Amino acid sequence: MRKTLGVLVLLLASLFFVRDAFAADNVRVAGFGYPRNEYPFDNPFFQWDISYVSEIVFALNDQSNFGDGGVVPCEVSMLPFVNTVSSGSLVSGGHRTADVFIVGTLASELSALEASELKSFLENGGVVFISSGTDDISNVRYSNFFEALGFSDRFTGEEEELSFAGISSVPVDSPIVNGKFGKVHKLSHYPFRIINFSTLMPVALGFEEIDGFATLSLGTQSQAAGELKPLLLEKEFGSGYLSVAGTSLYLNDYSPENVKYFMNLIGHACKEQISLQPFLDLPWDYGAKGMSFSTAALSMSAYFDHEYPLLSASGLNEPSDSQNTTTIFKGLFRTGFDYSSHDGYDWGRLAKTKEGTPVLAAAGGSASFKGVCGPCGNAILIDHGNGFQTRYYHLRDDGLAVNQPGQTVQVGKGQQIGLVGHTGNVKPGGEAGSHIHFMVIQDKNGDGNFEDNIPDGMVDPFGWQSNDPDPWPNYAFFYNGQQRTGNASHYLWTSAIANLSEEFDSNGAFFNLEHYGASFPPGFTNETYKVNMKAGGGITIPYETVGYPLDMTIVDGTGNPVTHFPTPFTLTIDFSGFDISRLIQETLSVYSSEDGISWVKEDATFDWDSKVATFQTDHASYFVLAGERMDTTAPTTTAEIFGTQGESDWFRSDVEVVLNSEDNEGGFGVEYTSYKLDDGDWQEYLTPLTVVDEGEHEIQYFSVDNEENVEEVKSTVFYIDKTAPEVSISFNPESLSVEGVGVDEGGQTTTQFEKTGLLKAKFTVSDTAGNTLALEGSYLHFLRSTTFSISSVKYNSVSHSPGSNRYNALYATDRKTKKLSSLNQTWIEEGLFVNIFYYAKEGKSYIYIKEDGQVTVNTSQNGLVILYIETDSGNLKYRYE
Amino acid sequence: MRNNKGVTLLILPVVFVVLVIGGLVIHWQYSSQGERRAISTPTVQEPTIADTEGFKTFRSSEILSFEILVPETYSIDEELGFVTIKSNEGEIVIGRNGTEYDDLEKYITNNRNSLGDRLRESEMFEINGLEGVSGFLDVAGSDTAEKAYYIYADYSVYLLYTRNLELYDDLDQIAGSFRYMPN
Repeated sequence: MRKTLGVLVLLLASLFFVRDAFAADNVRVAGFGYPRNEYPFDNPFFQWDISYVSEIVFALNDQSNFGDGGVVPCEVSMLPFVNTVSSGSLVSGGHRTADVFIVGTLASELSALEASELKSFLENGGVVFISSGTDDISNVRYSNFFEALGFSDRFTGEEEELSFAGISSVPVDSPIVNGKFGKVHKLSHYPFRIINFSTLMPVALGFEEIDGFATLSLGTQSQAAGELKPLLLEKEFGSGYLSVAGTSLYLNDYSPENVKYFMNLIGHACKEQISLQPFLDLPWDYGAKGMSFSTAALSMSAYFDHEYPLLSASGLNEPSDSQNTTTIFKGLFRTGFDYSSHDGYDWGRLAKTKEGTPVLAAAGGSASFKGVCGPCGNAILIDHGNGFQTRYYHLRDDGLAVNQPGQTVQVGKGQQIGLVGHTGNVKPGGEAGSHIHFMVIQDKNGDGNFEDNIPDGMVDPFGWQSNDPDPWPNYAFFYNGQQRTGNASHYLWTSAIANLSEEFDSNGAFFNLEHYGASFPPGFTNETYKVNMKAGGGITIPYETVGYPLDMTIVDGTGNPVTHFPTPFTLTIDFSGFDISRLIQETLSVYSSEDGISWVKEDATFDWDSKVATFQTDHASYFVLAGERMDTTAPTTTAEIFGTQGESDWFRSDVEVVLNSEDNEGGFGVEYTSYKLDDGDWQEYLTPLTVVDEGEHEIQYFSVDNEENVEEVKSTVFYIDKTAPEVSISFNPESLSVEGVGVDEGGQTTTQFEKTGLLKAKFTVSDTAGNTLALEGSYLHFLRSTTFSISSVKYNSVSHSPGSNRYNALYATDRKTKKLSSLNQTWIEEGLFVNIFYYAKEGKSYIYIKEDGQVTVNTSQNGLVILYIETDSGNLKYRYE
Repeated sequence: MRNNKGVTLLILPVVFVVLVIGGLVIHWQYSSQGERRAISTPTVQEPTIADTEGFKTFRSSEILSFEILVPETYSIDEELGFVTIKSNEGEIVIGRNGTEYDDLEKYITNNRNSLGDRLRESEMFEINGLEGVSGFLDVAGSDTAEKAYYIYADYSVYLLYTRNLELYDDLDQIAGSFRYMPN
């Protein structure tokens, strides 16, 4: 069952192997019309009621052949057929005005000017068909043309029979005989005389059936001495093509094979890109050796020589001037890299394919054992069923998937088919020279046999990576009785090679930017693109990103950005280097955005073992891997203030501020705490703060957790007042009593008076921070007289003893109004006498001060003057006002 | 005098024998060198860039694993396993061949492209600890020879070459700065 399935897959793979990448422009068919050409394509019924030219024209108009859904996607458009060709009529300014030109059977000489224009047409990629003349027309009419092309050939004495002559043997392979409509097997033709085909390739020879009527003529003119006579000659001119045949190829007889030939000829002018689907992987497990595809593939010890890959063609030798040089797929001509004539690739020590390394099938297919082969040693050949065969040489005797000539086994891609060895011709000899010789052969003639396409079917799986012409498909040679040309190469690896120049073409490529990888498959584009991958900035995304976003831009060859593509490419995001444990795994997704603001979720697959997200996309834009955080709760921070505390937030000492932060339950911890004290800058909190300055302070703070959840800023206000209050004692004329009032810079004060004995008292002033001033002394209040003396002034715990002193306030009131009528205030200290007498009737206060026996003040002031006794850092002072 | 004559008579045969043996040894050495290798006149030098001003460092991808100093004004492109260094005069190409030989001399001598025979004016170098050979290869149809450096590192042979006469000196400088940078 599995084998059946494998075969089915192979069949399907072969069906899809060749595909049309896109529809192409029309093929413009022009030519000479009547009377210049006696049998023109544009008027097939002109000469004959039934002309077989008409069959060709019908086929050209058949949409199953051309156009959408046709074998060839190009439509065919018939241009007016002309009687003359002038300079510039076919090629003007380097551009062709037609794609195919049917010269046909000329009724008159081709002029030198016409010959030159046709030559230019050919060299500019045009397809030209020339038929010989009839028996009454001299073929010298093409001499100018062949001379212009540098040929020595002449249509000397070509003979055209009037009736059916024969059918050719299988024509020699050529791009037209084996064209887009399939291989032309047997051509019906009349012979025309042998010409010198040293520069034209004969593609159809001889006859295998000969009509009796023509036998005499053929026997005498075309098959004398058993010679093979050319029926058809062709020549490539770059992408241009020349076909030379007898008129009868399309005129006198109808044959489906002949029509197919013309379909192939017209189809050859359809320049649509035929993309070969890559199907090969390297023939060993380079990944297990720790190598990327790019590194492994480019670790070859011998390259394919694109000039003359003739190594497997015994008897064929390179010209002397190219011997010992190798032309590399990169377009490097005749280099010193290894090695000349090599028709495949060698991978050895550098590629880590030492002796005994398993050799794997580069693609699935039918594996066989090549028999006797001295130089190649044990060799496995795999026919992949798609017209290509891969070969693996120098294998060890053991471990072969098949080891008997004639046997075949089906193998899958990557299946072991042998072991790296050193059988056959290796250098150095013995185990040291062990390596894989790997080669690819195309069955160009489609006969299912690859041996007969050596060497002309040799293909470089790296393709030809240069704008210069690939020498190999342009090399014509004669081998094993057949004229042959080399083969075009295509990039056949399913993996792209890392492109380090930021440019890539139809081979595809992949690019890396740290954890991002972009892989463009072969066939993604048919032009050159340039990729720019950089870290995206200035974007907003409502999710938690894993690493920075990717900003990918792609421009075409003219520098214009290309944002959308008809086929997808693959992007990978390797998040193995990122901690995603704090994201909700189910929410991890790849998002893309064209503007960096609006994001669209991509359909990505996640390999959780290798931690790689892979997705296919058809646009270049911003890309990012993002998800939702598990923890979205900010941490909590509290401030503790330590110091000698008074009321509320007042402290009468230096203060220590401690910030405590805590993340929520299930959170991932606090990352940091920041604070700002008063007008200072924000700082990270590391250790408790000590605040010494008195006054009001504000500390602001917040914390951030490891999930970047940010707490709102909080603040705590506290006050430091380390200075005890002072007191001001005076007579209060409103209350008619002596009162003490606290004086404190920090704010409010409270006072307390208590009698501590018969004539003793204590007066205490306290501020908000709890600082105290305590006055103690004698105190006597009797009727309207208040007398005290202060013996001790104590600030918190520090006492001062002032000198002897006494204060007295005696007042009188008006009997009727009860208002103050007189007030006598006295303050006595050592050497100081202060008296202020207020007499209400006069509205004056009399001030008398005597210091050290001298009267210093003896004056009066209008109004009530109050005497104040105040403390000042342990001293007692007075003032009045 | 008699004694001197006797000594002379004794020394002459000894000198003769020494000369003959010495000559044979020298002849054998030269002849065996000629058979052993095609690299002519091996010398040991260490090309270096004395002053790196005006040069920029180019480090290849891990595919090629090397580092060089390149004149600042030159453009450098790495693609498909080859590095191309371009100036207005032309280009220098750096590529790599794997090899199964464990030293450069064996690689050159046994080379399938006959390098040992074709490399003219070859000189052996030690370049930053690596074996190297420089020389000239004739280019068919051109009067200008290809100047080439072959540098061996870990079963790799790096080939640095130019076919522009004007870039010979730059190639020398670049080759002299070559460092193998395995991953």
